[in-house]
Formats: sequence, structure tokens, C-alpha cells
Amino acid sequence: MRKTSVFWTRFMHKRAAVFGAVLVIILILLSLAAPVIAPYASDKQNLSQKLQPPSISHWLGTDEYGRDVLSRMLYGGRISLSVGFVAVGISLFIGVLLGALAGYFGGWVDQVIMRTVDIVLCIPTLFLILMLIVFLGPSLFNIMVIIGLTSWTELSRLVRAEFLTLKQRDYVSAARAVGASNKRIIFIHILPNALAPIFISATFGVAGAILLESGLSFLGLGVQPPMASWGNILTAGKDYITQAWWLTMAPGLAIFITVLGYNLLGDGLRDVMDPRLSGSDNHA
Amino acid sequence: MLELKNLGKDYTIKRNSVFQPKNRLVAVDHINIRLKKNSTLGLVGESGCGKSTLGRLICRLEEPSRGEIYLDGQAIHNLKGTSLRRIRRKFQPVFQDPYGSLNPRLTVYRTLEEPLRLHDKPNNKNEINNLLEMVGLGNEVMGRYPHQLSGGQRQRLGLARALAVGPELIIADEPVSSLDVSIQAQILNLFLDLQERLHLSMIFISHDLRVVGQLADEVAVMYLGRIMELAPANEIFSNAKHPYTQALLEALPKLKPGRGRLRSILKGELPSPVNPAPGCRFYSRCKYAGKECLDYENELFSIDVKHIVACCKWHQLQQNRKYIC
Repeated sequence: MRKTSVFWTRFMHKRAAVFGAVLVIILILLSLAAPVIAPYASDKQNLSQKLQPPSISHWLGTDEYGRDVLSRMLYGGRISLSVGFVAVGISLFIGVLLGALAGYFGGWVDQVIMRTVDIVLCIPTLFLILMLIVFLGPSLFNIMVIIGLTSWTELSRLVRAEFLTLKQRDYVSAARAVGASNKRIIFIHILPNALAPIFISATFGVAGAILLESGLSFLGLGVQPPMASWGNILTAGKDYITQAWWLTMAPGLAIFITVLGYNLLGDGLRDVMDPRLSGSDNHA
Repeated sequence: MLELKNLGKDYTIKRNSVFQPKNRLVAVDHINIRLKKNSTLGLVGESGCGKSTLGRLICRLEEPSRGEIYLDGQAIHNLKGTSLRRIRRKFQPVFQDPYGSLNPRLTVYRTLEEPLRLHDKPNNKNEINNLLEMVGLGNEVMGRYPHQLSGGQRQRLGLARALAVGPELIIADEPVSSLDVSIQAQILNLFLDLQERLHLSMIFISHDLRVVGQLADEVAVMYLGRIMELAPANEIFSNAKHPYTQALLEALPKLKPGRGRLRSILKGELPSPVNPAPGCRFYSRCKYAGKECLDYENELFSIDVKHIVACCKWHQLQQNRKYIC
């Protein structure tokens, strides 16, 4: 228990990290509450009200079909954040599993896994993703899976490195000496002690996945309209950038704030949980 | 109860290119030891002499490169999988570093529950309470994490974990060397006490001859992976034959300063165990080294039934030296 409270006091002293955490929490709450707080349905068209600037009735204005931008932003946030979480979830699963196996067993298992990582890293991620989407078609599910499947390599290297150090610890020897199975040693004795860097990396991963999804949607290969995502609101808005600045400003800012929030949070967590990794000031 | 036959462990050192010769690090070599039930064998030697590796070999935490290990007549060097896991409850290690040997994410309760559960023993609070009591810890520590315990408490917990499965043999690798001197004595007494109560056999690894002298019935002195001398503890202290053992004894601080002490400080450092040169392992640092030592591979000579020495010149060396410890 004491460890947790030490963590909180140290975390609370990192203003940037707290700021990031607040941004992240607000964005998550807004997305969760979208059906309740959105003033309009996200796809309700009203052509007589198209391209209206921000006003009392439409806080963020309306788009070229007269849809309320605020409502679309809130629903788009759900998509963007869920892409972030699901993609990171998939990459966590693959990266942690493969990294753990490579680091723990070493030998040919390690060779095979790490050479696979090298091969995957050789392929430019964006082009791989574009190619896969062209083959599989751009659906929300495909986007999540594909981003997840292409972003586990760094995580697996990180986890492997952690396992390489932690498996040398005496408590791991002790566990083996009392007859614990490999599975037990990996999941009870090593993995929980490697969680800090994994968690930090996952936080950055969410930001990266959201950014990637926005980029794909901007290219028209992401989430397809009429479903709203920040990326495709941005794309639609770029055609009207001279007449309706709010169409690009709103999703642009939202992406910026989200990525900023996750990165600040990740930086702060790294300083608090894993002093080894942070370069500069460690003091609270 | 424990018998080691010709036990050895090599490590291959990674080459930078395929054209370089393969380097072989001989960590432990030609170890022949017999340990009787209820007795303690002290393993002494400098850092890097292979004593910890030998301990890990006996615990089956490292795979031996050659040789055999028998426990109560049963070969354990070639066991694998479930049969190895099952036999592990007969021998348990205690580690040096009380900080590194406990999983920081497990409470005292969970640390002790694990070995009990893995060997299908009752693992309720009562059992764990008994274990804690046995090593002199109160049950108030049960919910604590390792970082909330002192060094001495952690070492007691490490011992409790080893005892949980009811072992017959404890392999203690420098269990007190990272503790304060006052706590060292407490822990050593705890070892002695538990050995008596639980009829344990023990291998006690240390670089400190005095610590070993307090606990051990027999002492084995190791140098560069080999046994140099093996004798009952009092014999080692009063009648050491090997020049290396003698040098170790002379290096001990004495209680009465300046009184006619013999002192031959060992020069140089432990030679590299990589691709060891033929001849006596101690050749490079021995003040009695002669030509015949280069043809001698540290075969063991029996001085009497219990005293074994690995020096080809032992009978020529002066024998009237006395050591007061």
C-alpha cells in the first residue's frame, strides 16, 4: 500500500504529467458521454444550416451537410480513442508475448523471434499499412487490427530486454528452485516487475495509434464516412478551409490535445515509475 | 547423502567472428565431494573461484557440463521436467543478496505460499505462521512487501522460503556476507539452530574462513574451479597442507597483533579461467612452485581418510607451521 501512495505523491508533483492525465481523462469522459452530451445526432443532416460558423446552437459550427461539428467530434473521439486502445491492446498482446518468450528462453527461440522483428522493421510501416488496407478494405475493425499488428516490434524488444535482466535475478532462481513452471515464472515473477516500462510504452503507443488513424483517415483509407473520426472530419474540412476554418481547426486541435496529453502522461509516468529511463531531472 | 562425481561446468564465450577460436571458460572442474547427512560442508575461495557456480550446479539451477550428482543414491544430474521439479523440494538454495532474492511484487504471505502450494502441502495462514516463527519472524510481517523489511528480516524470509518445502539439503551461497556484522551472528546462529532442529545437511559457501569455521564440519577450499584441499574444519585450521589454504589462513586478521605470525600475502590476482593452461591451477601464485607442478593436474592426494589435498609437493612443504585463529 505504501508503495502506491509514494507513487501518487511523486506523480502529483509532476505538473506536466498531471496536466496530461487531466487531458486524457477529460477526453475519455467526453467520448464515453457522447450519446448523452452531444447536442445533435452525429449524422443528422440539415442542408439549410450548412457551413454555419460557431454559434450558440452549434458551438463548433456545422459542416457542408449541415451536421453539427461538436456532435461529430464527440462521436469521432470515441472512434479515435477506441482505435488507440484496441490497436495498443493488440500490439501489447503480441509484443509482450513474443518479447517475453524471446527474452526468457533465449537461444533459437530468441533468434527466430528477433529476426522476425528485424524483418518487420525493415518494411516501412505506413506503406505496409496502406497495402494491407487496400487488400482488406478500410473498415474500423481492419484499421484497429492492422495498426496493432504493425506496431508491436518496439514493444517486443523492450520486453525482451526487461526479461533478459530480470531472469537473472535471484528471486527467479529461487522460484525455479522451488519447482515453479516456466509459465509461472514468466507471469508471476518476471512480468509484474517489467510492467512499468511496458505501461509507459503503451501510453505513447496510444498517442501514436491515434495519430496514425487520423493520418489514414485523412488519406481516405481510415474510418469511412459517414462514420465520424477526427481524421475524416479533417479531410472533409480541408476542401472548405478558406470558407469554414472551424471544420479543420476542431479535429486538428483535438488530435493535438490528445497526443499531447498521452505524451505528457507517458513522460511523467516514466519519470515516476522508471527513473532509469529518464534523462534529465528526477527530483519531484 | 550428497555425492558429486567429477562435476564440471564450462561456458563457451561468444566469438566476434567465426574465424576466432572458441573460448572455453572452465568455471568448475573435477569436483568430487561426499556430504554426510546432518553435516555441513563449507566451501571457501576467492571471488571468481567457482564456488557459487558449484552451488548453482548442485541446486540444478545450472546444467552441469559433465559429471554426476547423486542425492541419497539417486542421480539428479540428468533429471528434467516434472521429475526434476518434484525432487527439488529435497534441496533448496539460500541466496546472498536479500534484496535481489525476493520478488518485490509479492507479499511475505505469497512468497511463502508459493513453495507450499507447488509441492501440494497445506498452505493456510497457520502453516505460514509456523514457518515465520521458525525463522524468528512475527506474523505481523505477513502482509508486508520485501521493501518494508530490514536486511536481516529479508534473509530470514529467504531461509523460510527454502525451508517451506521441507528440504534435506540447504545450499547457502554467502547468506550473511551482505548483512551487518551484528546481524550476521544472529543469522549464523539461526542456521545452526535450524540445522539441529530439522536435521539438515548444508553446503555453506563463503569467502570468509572464520564464518565457515563456525558452522562447517568439513571445509573445501576452492581455487580456479577446483578443490585444493578438503578436510574437517579443525584440521584445516590447525594442519593445512596446501599452500593456498595456508595463505588464506595467514591473511586472517589475528586477535593478538605482532606475535610471531607467519604471513605470506598472495601476489597477483586469480588467473583467468578462460582456456586454462595445463599444470597446477595455483602455479602462477604459489611460492613453492617448481618444475614438477607444470606436469601436475591437481589430482587429489589423501593425507588420511578425511584430509585430501591437491598439491604435488605437499609432503615436502614445511609441516610445523601452526596457525592460531
